[in-house]
Amino acid sequence: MSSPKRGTITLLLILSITILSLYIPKSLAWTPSEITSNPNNGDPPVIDGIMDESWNSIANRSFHTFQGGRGITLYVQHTEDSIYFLVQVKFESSYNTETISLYLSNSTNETETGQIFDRKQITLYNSTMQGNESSTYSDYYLGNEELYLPDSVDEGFEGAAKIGNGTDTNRYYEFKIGLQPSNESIFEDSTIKIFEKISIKIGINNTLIDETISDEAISIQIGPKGISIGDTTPGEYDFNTELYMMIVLISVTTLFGVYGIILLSIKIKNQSINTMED
Amino acid sequence: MPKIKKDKKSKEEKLKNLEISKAEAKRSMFSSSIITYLIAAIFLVISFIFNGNIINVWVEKITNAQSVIDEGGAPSFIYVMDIIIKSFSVILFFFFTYISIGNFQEYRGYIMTWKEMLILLIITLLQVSTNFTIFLITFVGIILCITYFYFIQGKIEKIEY
Repeated sequence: MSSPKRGTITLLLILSITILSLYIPKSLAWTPSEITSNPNNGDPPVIDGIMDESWNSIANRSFHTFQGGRGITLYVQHTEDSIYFLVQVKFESSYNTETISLYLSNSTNETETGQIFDRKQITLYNSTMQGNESSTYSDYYLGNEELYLPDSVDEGFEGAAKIGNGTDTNRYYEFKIGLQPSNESIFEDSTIKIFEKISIKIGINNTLIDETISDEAISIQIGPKGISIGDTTPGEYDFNTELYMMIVLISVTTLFGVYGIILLSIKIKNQSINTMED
Repeated sequence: MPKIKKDKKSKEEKLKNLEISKAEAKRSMFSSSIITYLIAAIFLVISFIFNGNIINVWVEKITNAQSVIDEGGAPSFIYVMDIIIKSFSVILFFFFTYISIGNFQEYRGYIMTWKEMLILLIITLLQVSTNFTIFLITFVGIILCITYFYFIQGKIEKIEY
């Protein structure tokens, strides 16, 4: 019989190890709000302001919900040559026109403002009338540290906006921006370059005069493993939660299976002994 | 028949009966460890499916429910169900594996030591290590299981003596 002292020590040991083990997964899996998605080369979204299947697919799902009352969610995915943004805005009935702008800056985190180098804008007209809405998109250029609208529309940028179908009254703003290889020089219009870390702020305008720009910025980087969203410093440990879970579960199942094999082998051994005895 | 011979015979019979009951106890101990192993295997499969995010439709629903919470909404029924399934499958996996290993060790003539407990504890907690809420619920559940076993063990020992 084990003494009560020994039992208490064992229990305390288990408790302390379990509490300590809380920090193991925390340091591994609970990294900042970084979401990584793979390139979506098979089924890129159509720029029509509709949240199609490619946005709902788990493999491509990278999104961030901005804090605050407006309920803005930014979805991101990319192919080898383009990056796609979908801004989902909750319905507000008081305004008939709504403009959503993506402000691209060179800031590497959420706290620094950085230098805004581009603005991509979509305006949705009749934003309260489902089915009758229309949209236009504008691509600003940077000149003398000022953003201006050029006469011609840039071919590397597409945009569309719509109100959702049926009971879905969210408004969807879809952007497509061409990606540029990292070694190419920048043309007049700024383009997102592969491996470049950029920061995005969203501007929302209902009156065409006053614009509210989100306090929070989201940093995006297109790397070899996909898009990284979140305030992570370059070179930080990139943790793949899904892969980690698979490794853990397969290891646990293997260990459990080994124990099962031991049990089974003993059962077979016992059966053969019983047969011999009979 | 002489009395000594009769006593000897009854003693032999008693010993034989004791041996049979011991063998039966051992056999039932072993079959109990196999049954509890199989039950634990069922819960491991459930845990594998849900904690491993294998069913895409379910994961999509949970992701949507999570985004509603992120936007300040209330947790949906499916979200709560997900947490319950994930945590309880792991707690019950721990519970039944613990019984199975305990019985198996007793069958072999040993007792369950802290080494087995520790390995079981680690492989159980690792299954829920990516979600803080589920980890916390499982952790509390496991502590309750261990406490239950601890007091049950004490009771059994008292009865034996």
